[in-house]
Amino acid sequence: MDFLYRFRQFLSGPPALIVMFLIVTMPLTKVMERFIPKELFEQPIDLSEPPPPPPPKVEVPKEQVEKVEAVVPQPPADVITKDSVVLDVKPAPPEPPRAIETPREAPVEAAPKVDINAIQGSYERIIRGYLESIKRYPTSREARSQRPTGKVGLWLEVTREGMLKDAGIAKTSDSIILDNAALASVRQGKFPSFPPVAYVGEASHRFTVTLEYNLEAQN
Amino acid sequence: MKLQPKALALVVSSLFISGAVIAQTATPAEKKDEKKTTELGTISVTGEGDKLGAGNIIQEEGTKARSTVTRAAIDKQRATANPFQLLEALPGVNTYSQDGTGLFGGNIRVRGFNGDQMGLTVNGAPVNDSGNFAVFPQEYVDKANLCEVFITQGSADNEAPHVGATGGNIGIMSCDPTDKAGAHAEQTVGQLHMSNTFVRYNSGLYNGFKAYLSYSHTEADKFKGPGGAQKDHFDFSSRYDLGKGSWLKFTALYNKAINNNFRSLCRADIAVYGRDADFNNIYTPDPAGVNGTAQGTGMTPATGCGAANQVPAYYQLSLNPFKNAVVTAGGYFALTPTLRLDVEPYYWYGFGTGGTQQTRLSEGVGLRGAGLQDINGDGDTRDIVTVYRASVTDTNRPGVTTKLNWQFDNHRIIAGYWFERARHKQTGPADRVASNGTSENIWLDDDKQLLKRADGTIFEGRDWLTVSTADSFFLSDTISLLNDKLSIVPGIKTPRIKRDFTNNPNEGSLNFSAATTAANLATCVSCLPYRVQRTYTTTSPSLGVRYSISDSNQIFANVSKGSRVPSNFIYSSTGATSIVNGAVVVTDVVKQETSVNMDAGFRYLSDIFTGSVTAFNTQFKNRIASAFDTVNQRTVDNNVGDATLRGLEMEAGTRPFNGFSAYASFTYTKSNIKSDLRLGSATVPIIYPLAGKEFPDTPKRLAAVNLQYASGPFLASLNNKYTGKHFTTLVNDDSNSGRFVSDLSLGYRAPNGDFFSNITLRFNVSNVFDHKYLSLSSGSGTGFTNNASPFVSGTTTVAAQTPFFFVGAPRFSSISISADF
Repeated sequence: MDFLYRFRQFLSGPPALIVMFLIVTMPLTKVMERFIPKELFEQPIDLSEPPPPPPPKVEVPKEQVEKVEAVVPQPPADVITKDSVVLDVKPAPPEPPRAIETPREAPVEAAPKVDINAIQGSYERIIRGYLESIKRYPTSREARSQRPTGKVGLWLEVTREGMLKDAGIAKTSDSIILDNAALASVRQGKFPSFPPVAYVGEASHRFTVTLEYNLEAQN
Repeated sequence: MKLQPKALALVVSSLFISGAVIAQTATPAEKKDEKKTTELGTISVTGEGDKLGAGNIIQEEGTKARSTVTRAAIDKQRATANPFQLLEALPGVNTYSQDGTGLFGGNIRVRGFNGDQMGLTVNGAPVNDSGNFAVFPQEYVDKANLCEVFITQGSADNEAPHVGATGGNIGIMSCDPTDKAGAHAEQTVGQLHMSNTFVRYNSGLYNGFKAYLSYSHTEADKFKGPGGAQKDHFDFSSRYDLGKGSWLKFTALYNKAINNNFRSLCRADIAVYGRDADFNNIYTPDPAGVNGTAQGTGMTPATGCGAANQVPAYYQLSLNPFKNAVVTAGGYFALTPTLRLDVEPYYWYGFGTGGTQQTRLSEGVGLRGAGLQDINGDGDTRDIVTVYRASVTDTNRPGVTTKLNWQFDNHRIIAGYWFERARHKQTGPADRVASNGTSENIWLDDDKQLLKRADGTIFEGRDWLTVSTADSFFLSDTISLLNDKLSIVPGIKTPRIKRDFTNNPNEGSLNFSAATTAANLATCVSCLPYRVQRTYTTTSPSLGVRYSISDSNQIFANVSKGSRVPSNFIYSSTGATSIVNGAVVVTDVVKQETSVNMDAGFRYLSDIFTGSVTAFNTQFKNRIASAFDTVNQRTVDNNVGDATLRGLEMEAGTRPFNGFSAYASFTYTKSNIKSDLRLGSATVPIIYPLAGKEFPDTPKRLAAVNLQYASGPFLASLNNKYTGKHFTTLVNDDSNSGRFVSDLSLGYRAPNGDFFSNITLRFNVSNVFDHKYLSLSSGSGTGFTNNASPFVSGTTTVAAQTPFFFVGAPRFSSISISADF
């Protein structure tokens, strides 16, 4: 209790200030909102959102499936009964347009229900999201005084278990500071392990990413 | 035949299916040969700016304690703000400015270290006074062109060019030119007739070259007393990209300021004359000279602390005219993608004077026979006349830092050499004062006008030339282990400074306080020509470690050694000098001050919130504290023995949440002087009871809370700083209570017009609650008063030396409008 009394000025100041600050700014912004067009109120950029997913890869298969269906002929009515026609000449169930590649080990089996590209795509999004969350502009004295900008092309090799096997510079930004910062940011990474159907047959997979370093705009 | 179509269909369909199969079976074979690489796209990495802690914090990853204020926070402050005001909220910082505009400068202490114990660089050039390491950042930069200010509390960076940095370093960086061409203008008006006009033109990027040129003019009145400040500033910054990671840079900052000083007051002055007491606005001219009789002999104004009938100096005779040019250049050459050579030459020119110039001199007294000339022109040399006399400083300081930056394996090595030669001329000439109390020669640079001795040589209260040649090798290696989770940085540097001090015969304190009698001449150190040369060397190793426990959590620790040589005052007549057998002897009592600083801390970096906690422990050996002895007119540097500083610094910043963001810092410092101070003589020692006492002006608690609300074009921020109670004398017999000061900033960005864009309106109020407080004036140097009340030591009663204060600036408002076009 004595502590609370002794530092009463110090302890009461900040809460009072916060309340006063809110009292002053909240009505002011309500007034502003009324008079100022909505377009000027920018949406705050939420950095925790992952970037929009890349469009799902839709390759050749759509046409392939259609071709298969198109080629399957109508059974000649005179040879076989309607029922048997339906049974015998029933074409392979049309593959859903999304499914692209069947598992390589069993080519003639029915198309898998899982979508490899989508899974790989979502794994790539996870890695991207992870890099987005740990990216930092370098903070050494040199970095802050020289303020380098540029693009670093990085490659990283991740094992199935999610360990970083190796990483390196694919294209230098011409700045040791930025190259280092880029390598450091991926080297510390803990990546998730591959989903079983992703990058099948690979003990590790190589990814490339470009880190573009900029400082905030200067007036 | 009957099944043909069916068979054909099956065959055809199977072809397609098998075609697909063939394609698929081929893939594993292809897979073995070619590694598929998945392109993840581009990730954009930008400095945090306003998105973290309202611009007062960045996500650090280094091995030492460091705090940074970015452009986003700098922008919200008043146009005239000085760098100390920009740093105010950071942990460990105890700062004040003499007024709300910042034009008159102020003082800074970080973890108890004074500004003159920290290295200050502007664009990489060291700008501490080469003699006594004092810093006056308001004289070098224009806030509108500042992009970053940082502090490394406690330990200076290994590659920083400093010889006087036991307490860490402060760096101020100008903005780079923009790629886009255009102009920017800003106009601010405020109370106290404050007006600031700023224009800048950016050339834009053209063939790899870009530059900007800016000019600003600022004026404001003092909030107490007559007079004001006037500042003119030019900035030029250019950058030429040579491509492939090499570039050239050139920056020149020029500042010319003429200020009327604020008068610092002692407690008795405030009690008798009030908080508004300042310099005189009335000048009482000397009586007219009459040939043959002495005039002015009875005019000795009372100036003692709290004295009745006090007659302060006239405000036009207490000026601070100063010109500074800080020129930096740099060649950054990427020799290979992993090896870079940086060559950074710089040049600092400073010329000006400060303090109170009004004083009285006796004609006919001085060196060279007949002494000082007839000043008032009445034909005789019997009078005592009011003159404008000042300590003039003329500094020319070129230097260069060369370093190699080499990355191999997991080592990043920085090795280099810094060299500078500072030529520092300090004189004390005098000139006449007109009957209206002004001097026509306020810069005291017109030799023809200056007062002369009877033989035609210029009369000087001091005449020193100090050539300080400093250099240092430095080497550090950033070793990256465990996949960059662990970073170990050993470093070493060998700062060395050679002082070459020459005293040309000058009157020194003669004529002020004593006549030029034979007896006085016998003890007049300044009257003799002499030269002192001293070299100080140190080896300062450092070791830092940072371990990232996870992406969000880091721990770090570092230990480093700093050193600071005594100011050049100790070689002068006002220092530790005496005459022995007709020659001047410098009693080398004051040793280099050294510090061993240890930090250990924890950082938490996440999307929502970034914070750090640092515990520090600094051991000082031979800490230097200087005090001005008004009786003997001497600035005495003392080693106050060993001292320790321990404490905790915390800072945290949030990302904007629904427009709200905040930054807060808290510092706890416990300072302790280990031993008593022994002055006086061997036979009659005076022991100042300092053991166990705290350092003056080092409050136990400091706190800052910056709140911000940003929504669309509207931005409001409230910066609050609490500075705790602190002692004002070395013996801790006087203290200053804590203060709580709030500054408000409201900004509105108007929609772009046809011709103008980025139109911003800003309203700033400092000291919103008009809190009344005092700030301890330490002057230049780590000046403290020893004791506010007399005390007895042995058989001696030690007189009181009253501490002096600057009156805290009252509430001050200003409004500004700026636009690009």
